[in-house]
Amino acid sequence: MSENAIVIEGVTKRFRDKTAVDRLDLVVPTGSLCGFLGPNGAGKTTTIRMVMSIFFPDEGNIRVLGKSSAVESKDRIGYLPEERGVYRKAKVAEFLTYIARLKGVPSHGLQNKIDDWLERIALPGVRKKRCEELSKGMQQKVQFLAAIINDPDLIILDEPFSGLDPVNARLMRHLIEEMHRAGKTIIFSTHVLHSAEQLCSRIFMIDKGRKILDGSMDEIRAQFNPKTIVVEPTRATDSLKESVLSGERNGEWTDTLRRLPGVSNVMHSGERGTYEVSLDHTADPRAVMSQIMRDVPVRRVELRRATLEDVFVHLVEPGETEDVLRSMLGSGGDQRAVNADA
Amino acid sequence: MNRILTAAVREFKSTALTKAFLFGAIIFPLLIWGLMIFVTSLKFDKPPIEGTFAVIDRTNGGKIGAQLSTYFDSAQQKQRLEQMKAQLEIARKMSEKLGMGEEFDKGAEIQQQLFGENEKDTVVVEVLSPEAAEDSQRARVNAGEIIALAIIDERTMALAPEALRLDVGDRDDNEDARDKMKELLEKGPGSYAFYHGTKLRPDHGRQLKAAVEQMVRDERFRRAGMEPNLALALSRLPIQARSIVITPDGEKKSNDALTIMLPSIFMMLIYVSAMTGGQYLMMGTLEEKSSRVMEVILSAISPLELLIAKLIGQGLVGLAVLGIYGVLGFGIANKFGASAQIPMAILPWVVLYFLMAYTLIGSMMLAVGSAVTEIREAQALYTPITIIIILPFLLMMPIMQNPGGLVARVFSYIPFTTPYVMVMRLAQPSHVVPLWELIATSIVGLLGVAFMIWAAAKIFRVGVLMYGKPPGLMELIKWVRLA
Repeated sequence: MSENAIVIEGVTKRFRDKTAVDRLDLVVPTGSLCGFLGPNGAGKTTTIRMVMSIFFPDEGNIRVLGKSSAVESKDRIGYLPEERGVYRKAKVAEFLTYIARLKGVPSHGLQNKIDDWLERIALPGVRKKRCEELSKGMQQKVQFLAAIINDPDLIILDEPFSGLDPVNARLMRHLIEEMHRAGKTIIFSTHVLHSAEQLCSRIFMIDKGRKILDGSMDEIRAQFNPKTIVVEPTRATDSLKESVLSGERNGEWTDTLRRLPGVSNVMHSGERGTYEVSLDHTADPRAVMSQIMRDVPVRRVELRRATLEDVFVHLVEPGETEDVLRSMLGSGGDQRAVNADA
Repeated sequence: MNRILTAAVREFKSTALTKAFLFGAIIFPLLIWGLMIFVTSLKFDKPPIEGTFAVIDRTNGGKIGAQLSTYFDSAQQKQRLEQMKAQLEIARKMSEKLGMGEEFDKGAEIQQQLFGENEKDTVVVEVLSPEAAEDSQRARVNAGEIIALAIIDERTMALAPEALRLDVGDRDDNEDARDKMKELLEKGPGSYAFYHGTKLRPDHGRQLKAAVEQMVRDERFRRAGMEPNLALALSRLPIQARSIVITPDGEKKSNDALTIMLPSIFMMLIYVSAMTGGQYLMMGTLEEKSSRVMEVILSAISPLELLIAKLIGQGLVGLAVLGIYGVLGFGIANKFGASAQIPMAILPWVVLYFLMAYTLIGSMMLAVGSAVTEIREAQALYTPITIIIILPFLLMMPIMQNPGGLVARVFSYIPFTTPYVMVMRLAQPSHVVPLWELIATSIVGLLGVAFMIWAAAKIFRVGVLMYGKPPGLMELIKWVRLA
């Protein structure tokens, strides 16, 4: 088995005058569990379809499982498309059998396999039901099963969590983890950043057809390291005297916080009465925190961990993507990840 | 290859093994067939005519009324019935000898039951004086005292050939001419009045009128100095051309009733089976697209493979339809003793032409089905196909009239019509298609098929994953050129 399951080199895909994917480079190491993120219309599905040889790139190369095209190794790939459905009139087992046979799974023992899997995705006893009788979530799980019924080495899931309730989303996460432990290479696109954060060992993010982030989860966390401190002062009603003494008006601490060294910006957070204090990248968060505790009567001071959501929202802010990225990544950032040549 | 086979088998099974198909393609035709047999086995019960038939005979000599009285008296009636029976018996024996089975018999029997006389008929003819008042007689009809009243006069008899010439002139006032024509047709030479009440059954009325007309005809013969029975018998003597066509391969019989129908029967056979397969192709593709199962399938099989699998699968469905209707048709022909007239030698060509017609229609349907997401949107793209689909019907008459003519030959070389036109020409017993033309048209047809599959594959490849605004025809052509 080659070292990288998918290698994408300088791939561009245009639809008429719109460039969906723009000179994309991407490497998915064998055995990794990768999250593929990006806003709507960023080019995720197009990229995945090119990997699957459903579309062909206008420029560049794609190698999948060591072959020059997914067509040559289709039977070793499991693919759950974003636009997915089932034959409404077909029975669940018929549908799965058909897909499995198309993917070259031998018919011997196939029915047992289907039953086992239906049990594992908590859908026992549906094999004789028509697909149209299943709920959307149940259909979703059947589609997932269709994607992996051939026991593939490479699994590509386009939005596997959409349409699932929390219970089923958790089931899906467990299944993905399980397959990852079994040594499969898995890549999935999602909007559920929480899931991506929990699951992924590696993250790619693209926007407007270009890669804007590529690295392991730890690297990314390190890059977007704690630059925000959440401060919740005691309220005026808690200790009127204290606030009067410190000369602040009615519990308003913005100016005090802003004056502190290393603070670049202060905002009210969504939570009532709390502040989000942004630091400039040279500041030492611990020093700033102890400073805050000296100057402001606080109920809570917290160094916030950069969530994937923060990264996402910051990175894909329309118009300022690049500037934000540069400033956030700073000098220590991974230059490869930045589309600096744009 | 395995994948294509798997997909083709599914395509076939999911169509041919559904209740809708079984009903539409098998049970429905069988039902029609069964119904036909049921209807022919019904006994038609026509009650005897009973009542008085009044006749006012104003012809010179007044012979019609008297003849009618005789016609309906029981002795004459009995004689006629016996004659009829004897004729039926002869016909039955003839059909037996020709091996036409009992169906022929049945037909004659039904005809007799429907239109013939009944031995229980008791019609009393009341011949009234020529001066009888029509009004009072009509009142009797209305009161139900008499079942019908016929008024015959010299005008009925007057049938010198000049009388038929319509003297409407060349004048511009067409209205006048039209009125004159109408009057001439309604009250002109050869007409007579026949009054009857609402209770008179139409078949009884027909029987009474037939009797009157026969008397009038007899009288005309007599006036022309001919013996009516002899004249009638002579005019009924059979005369028939033994139509034989001389072809380079020898002589063949031509112009049987069945052989006239053969070209259109074969064309319909191909048409129906090709359309069945084609329709399923469009609907199936559309369903896979709108249910979003398409990309799931495409993760396992390439678009081209899927297209080929679909064509094969539904082609088998079409072949099944062709087989079912073909066997059914042969069965019907056999039952009427006409199976010998079916030119077995062209059957391999029929299969070839079916494949040609099916693949052409099928790939167009596939292209449309893949390009749109909903059946509603398919309508616009379907229109150009409709034109191609109705072409064979428009061509049916000119080609059957002149299978070697310019129209026939030109359309033999247009791939969309090649299969239909050629099968019509081949099935025409009096026409021989030269071998070189068979080969040349087949090559043109197959080139057309290859082109259509190629174009459909291009559209299919782009279309199957395209959702949103349905493309127009021009856009499809662009897909073919760009993809």
